[in-house]
Amino acid sequence: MAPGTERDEVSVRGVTLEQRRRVRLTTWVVSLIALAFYVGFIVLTVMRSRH
Amino acid sequence: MAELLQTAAHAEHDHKPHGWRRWVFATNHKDIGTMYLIAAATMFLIGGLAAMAIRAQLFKSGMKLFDPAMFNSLTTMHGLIMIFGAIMPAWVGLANWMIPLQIGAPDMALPRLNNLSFWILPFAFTLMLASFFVPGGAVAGGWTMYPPLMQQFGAAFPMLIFAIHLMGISSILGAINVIVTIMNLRAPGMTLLRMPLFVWTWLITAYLLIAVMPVLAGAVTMQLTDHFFGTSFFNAAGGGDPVLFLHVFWFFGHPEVYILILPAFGIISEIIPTFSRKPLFGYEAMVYATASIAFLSFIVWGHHMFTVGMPVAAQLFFMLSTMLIAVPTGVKVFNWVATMWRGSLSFEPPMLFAVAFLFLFSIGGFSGLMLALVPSDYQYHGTYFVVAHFHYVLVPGAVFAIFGGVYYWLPKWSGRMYDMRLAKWHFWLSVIFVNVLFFPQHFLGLAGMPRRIPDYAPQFTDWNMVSSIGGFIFGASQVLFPYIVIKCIRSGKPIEANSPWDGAHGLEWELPCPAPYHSWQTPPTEAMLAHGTGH
Repeated sequence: MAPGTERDEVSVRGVTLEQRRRVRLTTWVVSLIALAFYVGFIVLTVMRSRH
Repeated sequence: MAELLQTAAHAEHDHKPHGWRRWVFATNHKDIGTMYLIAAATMFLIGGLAAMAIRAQLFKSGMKLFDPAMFNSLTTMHGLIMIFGAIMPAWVGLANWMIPLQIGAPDMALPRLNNLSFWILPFAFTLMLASFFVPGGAVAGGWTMYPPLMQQFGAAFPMLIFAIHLMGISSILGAINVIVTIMNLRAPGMTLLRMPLFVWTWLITAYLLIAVMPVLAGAVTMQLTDHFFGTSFFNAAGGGDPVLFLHVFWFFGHPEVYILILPAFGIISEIIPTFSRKPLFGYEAMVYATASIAFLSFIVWGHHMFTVGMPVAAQLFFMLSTMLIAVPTGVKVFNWVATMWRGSLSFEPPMLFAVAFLFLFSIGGFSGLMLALVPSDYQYHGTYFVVAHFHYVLVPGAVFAIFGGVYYWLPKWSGRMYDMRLAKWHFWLSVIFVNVLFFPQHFLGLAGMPRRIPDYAPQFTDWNMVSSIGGFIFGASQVLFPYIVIKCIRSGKPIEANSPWDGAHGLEWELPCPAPYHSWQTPPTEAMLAHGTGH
């Protein structure tokens, strides 16, 4: 169920199970983006330092 | 009927923990938002005292209140404290309070992570401030931490880097929480293009944080390994390049400026329609303009280092891409003016701060355009003109928007109205003396006064005196702000209606005043949504 559409019936303190699943997925994706920027820029600097 | 049920549902869930556990183990977005705002205000006070000390030293030529090393530490720490300790936490505090209320979510998506991101901060701030008391004093190389100068400080150097790592982790965790909340916990019917502008600007800000805070962390980690583990990322003697640090730092640094100002755009976009009693002009254009500004912020970093030396083609690219930012920013300013055009205007404190923001932020924007021009920048670089420019962006820009936001939403948080007369005094003293403080710094810069110096040639004395007097009065007048807030919470006039502002729209104004401890556990109805979003 996409956000902004109907809320399903199984809900704990106003948050549905489907929303909880999507929260976990989004958290992983966004965290990996942050990690990629951290590692990526160190790798870029190492590559550039070797010139 | 639906509203009655909503209120009853809130009353049923309005229980909260008591004592210290409520704050130490806080997972409620309102409690965490409050703690962020208190922490930001505390750091604003400490950073402000450092600013007063700087202006006292610069009151006249030949003053010797501090030795030059201490003066440099004060300027460095003032910058770091205000950016990482005051403005950023204030935005996260406002985001915590308002995003769930505005999108109809029961709380932030990751409440325990929210607790962690806040409680990292007091340790980071303590570590940063404690560096004043270690042998050699606090780091004094400027907030930009350029090597090799940065490498020359003692124990304060690793302390500051560890503090920056902690603050970075806190910001990244906060940004993850904001993105996850907005993407997943919006109320049914709250589509992306029905979201309030404050939520939109914060969503884009959170993506900027995710992209650039790790870059800063990487840059300072490499400085740390250069210093302690014998690497040579930025050490020319070992084959590294100090200029590389500038590139990496400013890849973080320029988007960071937008991290500090985009939420301000969101707040101004909330306040102006309310007190103009008209819908925001060009809502979708505002969203796309915000996204454009965020995108452009990644490709302009070179304008901070024109004088370092770079090929003409690179100078041209960075100059033109920087000037391009004026287009979406202009769209926003014209849309705010168009919102006010023929509106039924009233000038309560939030609107006063918003209108002042329009004029004074634009001054900062125009001086930014002057600095974007390569030949002009060769003249202005490293002078007080730059100091005037970024203080116009950050003080009557970001800080005024924070004041405006607090005066706008404080009745919703506390259920009480603040002393309007005192708040207007706070506004007028601030708006007059912020200009007395910073406008003369343009003249000083154009006359050639360098920044980051503890003393100067006697011909610069007059405007420095004016600037310092403005600074002292501006600083003193800020005492009014916590007084007004505390007085409101303790003895302000209770508000009966959901909203004290007759022109306000938005889901937060569909809730009672004060907002219940647990809100939107039952999602808002379509009628509330239609009334709240205006479409």
